[in-house]
Amino acid sequence: MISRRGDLVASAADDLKIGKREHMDKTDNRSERLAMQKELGAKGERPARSLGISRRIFLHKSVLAGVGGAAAAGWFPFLNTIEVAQAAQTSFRFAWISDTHMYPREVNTRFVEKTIRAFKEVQAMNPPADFLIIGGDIGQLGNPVELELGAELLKEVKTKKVYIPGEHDWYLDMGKAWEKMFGAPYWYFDHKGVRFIGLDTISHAKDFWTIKKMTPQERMGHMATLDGTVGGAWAAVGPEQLAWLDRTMSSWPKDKPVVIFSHNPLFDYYAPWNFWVRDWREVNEILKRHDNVTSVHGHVHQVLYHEIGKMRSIGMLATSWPWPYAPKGVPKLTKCMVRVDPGDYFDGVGWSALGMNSASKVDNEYVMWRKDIYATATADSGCGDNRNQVLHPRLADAETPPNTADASRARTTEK
Amino acid sequence: MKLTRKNWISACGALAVLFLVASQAAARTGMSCAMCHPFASDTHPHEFPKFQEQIGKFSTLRDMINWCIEKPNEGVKLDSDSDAMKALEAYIYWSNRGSKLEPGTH
Repeated sequence: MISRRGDLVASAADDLKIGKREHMDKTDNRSERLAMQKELGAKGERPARSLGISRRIFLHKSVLAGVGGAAAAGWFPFLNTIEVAQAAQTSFRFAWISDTHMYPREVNTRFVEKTIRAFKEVQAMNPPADFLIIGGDIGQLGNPVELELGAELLKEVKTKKVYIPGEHDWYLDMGKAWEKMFGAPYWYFDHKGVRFIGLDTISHAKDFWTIKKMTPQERMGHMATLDGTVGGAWAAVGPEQLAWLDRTMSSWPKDKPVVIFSHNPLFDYYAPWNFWVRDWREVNEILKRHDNVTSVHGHVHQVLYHEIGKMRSIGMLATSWPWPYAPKGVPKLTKCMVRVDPGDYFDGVGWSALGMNSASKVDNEYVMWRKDIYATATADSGCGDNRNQVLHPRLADAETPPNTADASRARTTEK
Repeated sequence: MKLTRKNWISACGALAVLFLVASQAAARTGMSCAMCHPFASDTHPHEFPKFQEQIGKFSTLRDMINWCIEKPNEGVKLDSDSDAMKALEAYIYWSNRGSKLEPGTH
């Protein structure tokens, strides 16, 4: 306990010092960037020059009164970074909400409550969002009742809305209800000099259900199980959409900004939970021709940041519940969020207010509902916590073998 | 039943299903254990018994499982010696085999 108290004092002092330095460097964050590079230390992975960094001091407020935590310290690339100075430069804003995972209203009132809160907050954004992107997984089990609940609640948001699907929306009726309600699963539009692309990364599961004569509910059940293996490496862009993406990118100047929305990350984070798309290499072959690409994705329910080539990738929070960080593959540039308090269902969840700044880069503000609960002692960090784990896919699923055709998945799953 | 490897595998199958399905039935939120603990991650079963902050006392893994069922999931807790509880515990241990023991860090 003594050392814990000592840590607290030390980190509080550290934060004071940092606060001062931050004030001095308000117009020039070079020293932060250098320090960040030193801290992260990975060769060949350098934060972009435009990376905006600021610190927020989060005091740990435990559920048990009187137990103090350490104050936050560390780098938060694009985490809660929109401050007055930056906001003033923002040329326009947009919002992301995803992974609301709603059951029918009576089954889980919390998920509904949190969805409503997110929608209301987006509607109240000032300056307002030009549009809201719903990044998939509106429902939990693809039930039209769940999707209709989402559509009903979305009436709260009067701004323009665009949609991409998540696997939870899709596999009961193979997207029929979703497409009827929300339109085409992939699309693009140009807005104030930015090309926005929405991808469907979820509808390309290989058919595991026909041969097993599964009911639609059984199929959906397997797809809704993040750590199940029956669904296999379902996340993909697919050849047809890749060709479309190729054309869509080719018709846009290489130096102008592109923002790509997808449910799954467009890089290889952790394949066993489909924290990737299986054809991420092909996707990146197309994207790397452009200088300013930002990928914004859901599915991971956690703070995530990565750079691959010239593409920057930002992971979004869920409103429903946070996933733990995968036991491996967390990108080095990610400053992990702290492991959440399971007793507080507003902890570690929320939505994102994004903006295109005057340097044509995407700013992201995680609107995390329990900011003041976070501390960043290594042991409390989501990544620090997961480093000693060796985990195993369920044997129960072995009766329905995964799609072995995809060798890269098998490789990733095997230790 | 003699515990052969085959039996063990099918037992593990049943346990995993329990982790997914039965825990859902015990909850009033529609959530299963696996929704926060995919592959039983973030459970660190081998580090119990330990002082558990939320419970406010020295706790076993079974105490923690019941806390999760009762508090975040608003469900009815399991009899600590029941087959269901033993099954959940066994699955969590099984999935975490090979993890490094780091007492006091979680």
